[in-house]
Amino acid sequence: MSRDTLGRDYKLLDLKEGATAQEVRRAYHRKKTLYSEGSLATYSLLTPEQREEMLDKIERAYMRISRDIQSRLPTPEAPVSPESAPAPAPLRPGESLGAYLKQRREELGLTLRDIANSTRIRTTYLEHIENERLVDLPAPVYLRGFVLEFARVLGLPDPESITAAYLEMAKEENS
Amino acid sequence: MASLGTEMNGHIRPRIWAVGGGKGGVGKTVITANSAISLAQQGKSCIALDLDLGGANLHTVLGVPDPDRSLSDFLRRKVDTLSDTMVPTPYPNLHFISGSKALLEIANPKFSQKEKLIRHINTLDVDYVLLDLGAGSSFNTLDFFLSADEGVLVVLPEPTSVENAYHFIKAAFYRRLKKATRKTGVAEAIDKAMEEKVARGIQSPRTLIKNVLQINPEAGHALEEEAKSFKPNIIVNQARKRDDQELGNDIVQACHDYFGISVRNLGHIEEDESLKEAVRLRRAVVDAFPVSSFARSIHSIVRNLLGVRNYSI
Repeated sequence: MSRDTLGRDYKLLDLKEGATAQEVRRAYHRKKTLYSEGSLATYSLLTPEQREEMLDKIERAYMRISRDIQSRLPTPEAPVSPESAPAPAPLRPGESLGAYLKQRREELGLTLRDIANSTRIRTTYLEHIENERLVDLPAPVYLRGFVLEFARVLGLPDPESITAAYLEMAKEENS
Repeated sequence: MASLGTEMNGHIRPRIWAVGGGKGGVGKTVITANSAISLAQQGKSCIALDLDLGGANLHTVLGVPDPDRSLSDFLRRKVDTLSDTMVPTPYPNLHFISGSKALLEIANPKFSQKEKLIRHINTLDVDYVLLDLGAGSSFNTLDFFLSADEGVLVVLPEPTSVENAYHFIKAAFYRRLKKATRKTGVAEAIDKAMEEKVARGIQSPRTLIKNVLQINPEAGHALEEEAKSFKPNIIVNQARKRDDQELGNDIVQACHDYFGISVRNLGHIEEDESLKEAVRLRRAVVDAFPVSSFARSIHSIVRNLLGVRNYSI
């Protein structure tokens, strides 16, 4: 990721580089509220497409900044950022998808809480996804977003196909 | 810089504040009148000038009978100077000029008369002139708004009012650019960018400038400078909920993100029963109920406007 992109991300959220995680979270929530559907200030200003685009930009900026902040943590047990970590092992045929996600997460030195913090997905759901506790998982429409986000922050190649495979597996198990 | 007025061609000219808002019934007149009284109470000499074409009632809020003199007497040369059209108000330091009839006469065709009027407003021998603009964003309204040192927009926490405010800000900005191009000769670049409007998806001043920058960098930079110096102010009136109080800051944010225009939030005014009570007493709120929430908001807004000037110098 280039410094330019990151600079723009900070600017988008009206933050200075070096902002604390809390400041970043606050700025993110404020921006998101400003551009949410029911916002009086942007109601007449944007078309639905522009609104989507803006929300998407905010979301991606927040993700990148969060990762940037995480990578700057000085603690020795600082998690490895997906970019600098060794390339993930390819998924072996027949390997459990949940276990695959878990293995990659541990390889990066990330806890479920870390993932929850950057994805805003509850840790219980993340845990169920890893353990493939399908009965406790949310409806497919939510599950899709959860798995996709999970795979994405782990820096796995092709998160879409992993998600598709996971949903396929869940569908078969449930039927 | 002296605290009273601004120097122009060797003369001290008054500071001009224009209050508009795109939509009717948002409280422009009441805010103009009370701000003028607030300034007068602080010992500044002021003139409140009614430029509301449709519903001129600034005189009523100021407790002045509809005067028999107005700007049109000046424009028709019935009187020698603009200050001959002033009438006193019940408030020390504050005078009133009715302009509504005159504005009807100087509607669009007489551009030169409007320019003349703006020139003469600048020669009035007072510290402040407050203009109560009409609703809408006609060229007349925009030109008076742009001629002021501080342009103020009044917004209600309602979708239509917010929409009108954005429209007003955009219209004023384009009007300003158009006037600036006469000086710097970047009209061609703007026209070119505007011709490609649909294809390039130009919707906001920010995108327009970006496009002009691509076509003609020099012209683009000139526009960027214009954009930077355009700083309208907003007031959110009749705020009820907590969200309404945040609306001003939200509009500032959205204008920055989408238009690339810095708007200044002067503050919000809460709904206040003392307004109705003051009308019944035929007095202005800041005079009749000096510690009401409305009066305190007005004083704070006036302080912010006075501060704007100090910071920028």
